[in-house]
Amino acid sequence: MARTGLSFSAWAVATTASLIVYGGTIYFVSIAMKWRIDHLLERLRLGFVVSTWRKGFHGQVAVFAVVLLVLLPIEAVAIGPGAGPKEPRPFQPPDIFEEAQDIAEVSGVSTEGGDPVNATPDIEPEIIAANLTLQWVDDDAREPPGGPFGLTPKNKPDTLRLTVRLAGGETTTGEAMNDPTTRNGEVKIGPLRASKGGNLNGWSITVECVSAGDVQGRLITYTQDTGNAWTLYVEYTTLIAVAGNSTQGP
Amino acid sequence: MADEEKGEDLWSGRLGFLLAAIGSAIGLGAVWRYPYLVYEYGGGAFLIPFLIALFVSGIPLMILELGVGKTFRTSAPFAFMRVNKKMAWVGWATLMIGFVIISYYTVVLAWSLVYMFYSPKLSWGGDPQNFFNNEVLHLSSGPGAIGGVSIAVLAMVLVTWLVIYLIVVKGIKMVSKVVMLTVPAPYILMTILAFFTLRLHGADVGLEYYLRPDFHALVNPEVWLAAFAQIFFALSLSTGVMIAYSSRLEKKADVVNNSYIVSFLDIGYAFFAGIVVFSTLGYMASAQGVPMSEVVSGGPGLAFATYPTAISMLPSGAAMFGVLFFLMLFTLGIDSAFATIEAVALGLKDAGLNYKRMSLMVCVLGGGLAALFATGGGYHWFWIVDNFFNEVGIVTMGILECFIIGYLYDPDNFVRNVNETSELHVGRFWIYCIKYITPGILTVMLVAKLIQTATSGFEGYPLWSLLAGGLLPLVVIGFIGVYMSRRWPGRD
Repeated sequence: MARTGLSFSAWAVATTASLIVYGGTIYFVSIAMKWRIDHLLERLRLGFVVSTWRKGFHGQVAVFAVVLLVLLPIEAVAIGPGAGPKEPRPFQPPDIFEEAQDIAEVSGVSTEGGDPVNATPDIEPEIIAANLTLQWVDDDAREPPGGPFGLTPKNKPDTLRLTVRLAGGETTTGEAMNDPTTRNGEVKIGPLRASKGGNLNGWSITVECVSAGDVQGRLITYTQDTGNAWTLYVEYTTLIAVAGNSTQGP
Repeated sequence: MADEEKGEDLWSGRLGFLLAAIGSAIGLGAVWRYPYLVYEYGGGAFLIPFLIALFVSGIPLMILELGVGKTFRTSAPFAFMRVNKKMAWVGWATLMIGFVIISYYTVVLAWSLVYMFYSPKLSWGGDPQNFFNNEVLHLSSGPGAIGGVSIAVLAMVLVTWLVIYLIVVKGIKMVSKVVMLTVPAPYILMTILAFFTLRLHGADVGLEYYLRPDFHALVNPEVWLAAFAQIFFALSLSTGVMIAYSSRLEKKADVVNNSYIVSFLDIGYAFFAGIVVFSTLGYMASAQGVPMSEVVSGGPGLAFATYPTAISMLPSGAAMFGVLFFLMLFTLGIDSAFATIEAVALGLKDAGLNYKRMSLMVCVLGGGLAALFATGGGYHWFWIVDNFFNEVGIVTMGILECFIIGYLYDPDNFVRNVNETSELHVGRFWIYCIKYITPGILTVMLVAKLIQTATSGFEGYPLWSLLAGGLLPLVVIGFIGVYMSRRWPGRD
């Protein structure tokens, strides 16, 4: 903390309060401990102060007051009266970075046999860590076109694959089949962490539909379920400059 | 009770008593209430009414409580009974109000413990307020809905009460050992935190707000009332603790100087805590580029929402800072908790009941009540009960204490007794404070509170909840106090 950051009035309050509160504490403790403060003053050859102190409570208060009257002008000279901020100063950032968490969301549709769909979120700050969660809900088989034979059809689960390819070529893949009962599917990858001093920016994330799963009617099987819509949640940690002139990471 | 009978209860030395009394007096309010009041009511100028309140109300009342214990050498109910048989209920009511306050106070200690374990991973994430409301409190929609409960908080409530029981059951001797650790600990931890926070960018901005005096505030009567109220609550007066503790002092014990030491160390800690709190808030405001008014808060919100936000923003050592801060909160509060429970147990012991059995019973009851406050709905009750028990119950007991000693007892005789063994002496000024100034100001505080509640309610809570959580329990406690004073008429 810069010493000159505080105004004289703030310093004066701090000094006065400290002298009363902590000086007072020491004073009362000294009585309990039977410390002879006047003997200490005598050793310091402060004869006039000693005689004032020995006049009793009023003399001792006077000594405290004189100490304060000596300290405050010294502070006034050292700090400069009226110095210090009246309002919070505009933010003057030093070079400090902090981690910040956020979530990016990307949605898309992948079809069976189709090309992998790009799902890379647009994140500018340096990403140092991330957790990826791909979620989808499989189609309800009773949705059109159920067809004349699909009175109580069952839609077989879909399988989706999530692939993360880092700028250095390292690839991580995860795939899963959705729950046939709830129809909810999820693939998780992570936590992915950047190497020290590096970042994950420049990565490529894709989603592909490995298998859409046929719709099984009572009498006939048909293949109207060609793929699925999905949402990718990217929980990421970035380094942002909380202070300093830099706007990029360290 | 004769001294020989309770010889094992006596403090082994002055240091043990002083530390226990200081530990009881200093509470969480030093961190989350006092600094906020200073900011709100004139910055450094607030110290003027605060110090005046200390000398004309706080210290005189502290002398009264330590003097009552020393003079009558028994707990609050039986001390007041010696003055006037009809006044024993005041002592019992004081102890019961303190007991209820501690039951929700221990929930705050449990939050501190839970947050201490959350700190290494900064588990509150990017939205500490939301985390506190949903993951810690499981906050319900209102006092009528019990809501969920955090198993972690519940477990820590039980741990806290187990700690309290293990200390209280062993009596004064154990307390004098425990306070050797728990009273210096918050001072040491706060000093470490101060070294850390004072170096932060923007700390001086926060300190400027904390210390720079606005003398215009002194013409506002509300500022003076706040200063007197803060002194009263900061010294943990009218909870029966100081009377119980000083009743276990040896006959030659000093009253006046002990009162000064306890009071000065208490406000010294609060002043120091303000420096740490405001340097942290100054850093937070600077880092976020927002005015101080947007980050300053008081109460649990400061400790469990604002501070975690600040901790997450620290450039380095955030986890360590978090652990130290929440450990400091726990050590700060645990003394007040076991002191109050000890006072209740000593009161029951002085009634002739088995001390160990009563300690267990009080802790089991307290733990059960605390578990209710730990639910999602319990947080709403926390505020309602705190509002009435502190600002109506405790203040009423303070007025009655002054009345009992100032008017029913002979104050000159009381002064003679206190001065007899004290290094510093009190005189007419003390009597004047106890007969007129302190009860007068406490009455103004009480009336202002009642008028405010009657006209504006409290935080929008429904009337039924204010009656059920505030006024009704206080009235019931008054009646139980009367019953207990007849059930146990005391013994010499």
